[in-house]
Amino acid sequence: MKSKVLGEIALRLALEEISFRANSLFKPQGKVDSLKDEKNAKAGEILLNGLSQLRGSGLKILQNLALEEGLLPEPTLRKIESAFDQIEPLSGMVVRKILKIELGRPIEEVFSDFNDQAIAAASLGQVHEARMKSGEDVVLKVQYPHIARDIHQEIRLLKSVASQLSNDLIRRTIHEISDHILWEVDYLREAENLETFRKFWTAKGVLIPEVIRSASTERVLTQKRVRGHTLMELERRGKPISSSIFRATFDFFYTSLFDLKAVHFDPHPGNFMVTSEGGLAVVDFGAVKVGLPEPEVFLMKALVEPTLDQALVIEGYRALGAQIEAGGEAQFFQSVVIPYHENLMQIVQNPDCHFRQKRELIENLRKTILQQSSNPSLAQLSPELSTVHKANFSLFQMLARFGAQISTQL
Amino acid sequence: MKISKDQKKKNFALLLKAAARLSQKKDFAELTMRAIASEAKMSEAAIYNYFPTKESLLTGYLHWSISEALEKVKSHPSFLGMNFSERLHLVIESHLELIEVDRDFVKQVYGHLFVQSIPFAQSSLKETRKLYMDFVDREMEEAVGRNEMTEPPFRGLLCELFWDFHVGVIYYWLKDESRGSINTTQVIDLSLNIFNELMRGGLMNKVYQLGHFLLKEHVLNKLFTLGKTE
Ligand SMILES: Nc1ncnc2c1ncn2[C@@H]1O[C@H](COP(=O)(O)OP(=O)(O)OP(=O)(O)O)[C@@H](O)[C@H]1O
Repeated sequence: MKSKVLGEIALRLALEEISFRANSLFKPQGKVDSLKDEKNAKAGEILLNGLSQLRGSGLKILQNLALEEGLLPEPTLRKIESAFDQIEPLSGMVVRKILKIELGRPIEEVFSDFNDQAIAAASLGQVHEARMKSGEDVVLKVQYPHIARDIHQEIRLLKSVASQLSNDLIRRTIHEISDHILWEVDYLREAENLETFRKFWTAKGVLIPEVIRSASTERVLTQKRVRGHTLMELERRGKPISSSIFRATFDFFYTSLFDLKAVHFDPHPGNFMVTSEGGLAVVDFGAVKVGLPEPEVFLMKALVEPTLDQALVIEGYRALGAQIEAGGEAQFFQSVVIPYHENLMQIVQNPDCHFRQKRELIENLRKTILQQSSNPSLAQLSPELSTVHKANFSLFQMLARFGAQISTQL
Repeated sequence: MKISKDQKKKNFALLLKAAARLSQKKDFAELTMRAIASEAKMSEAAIYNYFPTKESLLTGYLHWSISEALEKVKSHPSFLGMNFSERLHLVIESHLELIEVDRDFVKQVYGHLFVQSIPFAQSSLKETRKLYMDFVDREMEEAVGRNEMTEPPFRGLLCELFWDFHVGVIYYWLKDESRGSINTTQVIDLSLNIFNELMRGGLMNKVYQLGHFLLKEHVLNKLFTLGKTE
């Protein structure tokens, strides 16, 4: 079924492309541009219609595409949101059966209490509350059936669909997202990430939930329940959030990056919580990479220094695949690095940063990074670096959305 | 020698399990009563006290496993907190759990009883059917008492429908190769949802979902594999 849907998407996209080419053959340039917009909007529609028929990974991909601001037209975004509302949660009996298959024993033997009603529907699974026999309150993420079985084939097909798109941005995004989804589907990998972050952050005052290994598998993740509310919930209820929390999310991102050499690709308000003690907790470690290559961390670090060291920065870029000709260093530094850094410094290392006022700037930074590949000397730059940058900008965007006003000195 | 009722029940089950075990290696049609008795460590004469014919082992197996399942659910820790359709779901799951080890035998039971449709099977399953329908009827009455549903129209017919459904689900399960038979669980779930919606009057949505699921998991997958060169 899924492969059929994807095949259909590919076919329709290809047809769209052909009709675009035929139509634009004899048209003046201005007309071609508007046709192009029309075509991309249509491609978005086709993708949307197709992908929303796929419950698991298709929706996950859509969700991620939706997060890429400016990629999909507004009406398409709204449709994606409503696609999420339409997901029917798995019923209690099905969830219980999945748990039994996964944990290898009836759930009554593991939990003294299990709430059939899901508290959150995620894209690859749903979240339930329960109490362990030993008395701990936990939340379980239960993966929808067949996701793991189908995902590889789906992603392969999706990538082949993507490679037919003329929109370079959508194409690259799909490739990138596909890789992340493959990580996210293995909950044991997420458990490992949680433990790594927990070990590092516990002494530093950020709460990362403890994994209950005895009730976790590739498809079920059980962790201690964090008492508190996500930033999303607080926002919805119009509750104030203290700036120390915002500062903590900022530190969480950069300290994880620089000291743990790890990046949380999805810093959004559903993944940060304010605990009942008023501290920061972080959940959802699916889209996380631990053990970033040294040069990436090195360059990210060099770029947030208040004063740039040309030699170090150039060395950093070269280590990541940038092609900077000998003798062209100063030129590269002046035209590429300095303008970027000047913009960045209005946000990072600012003793009083009003994030809401930086919206346009954040958007410009994001565009600069996205358009890097059109610069010949940066064409070979490690694509992972731009993903790290994008995670960074997601954090900024989140802080702007909440109107955070904090010192961003590192 | 006089034997107690309990012992009788035990022997009955022992013989059934023996038949089931042997059918894993050999076709049921080729088994002799003597072999089954000896597998159960009983004499050939004794087996006829329980099963007058070889065929009665087949119906006996269904009767035994269904009554066990009906018994078992009542002591399930979550049973009392469940609504009508969850209880029925639990009955089917418990039954499947019980017969899981004898899957090969159940296949043969089904082959003999339903596919070849031995006329006598219909009449000798009457008792099992009644046992099952009585259970459903009682549960439905209780659900009405709990204000979970209004008195359903054609109650007797509904009970019959649930029996057919149960039998049908087992047939589906025999062919279900999904991990942990999770597809069967989803079929039960979606079907019982249809019943619930039907009771509430909003039918279309679920029928669509079930159709969609069946189409996706079965028809299309089959077509897909057929298209592939093996
Ligand atoms: N340890 C926890 N304690 C309390 N609530 C939690 C915990 N873990 C997750 N949640 C709740 O469940 C929601 C979804 O969890 P999570 O983000 O891990 O799922 P996900 O599948 O990765 O979701 P998505 O892919 O949509 O981001 C969170 O927004 C949060 O409200």
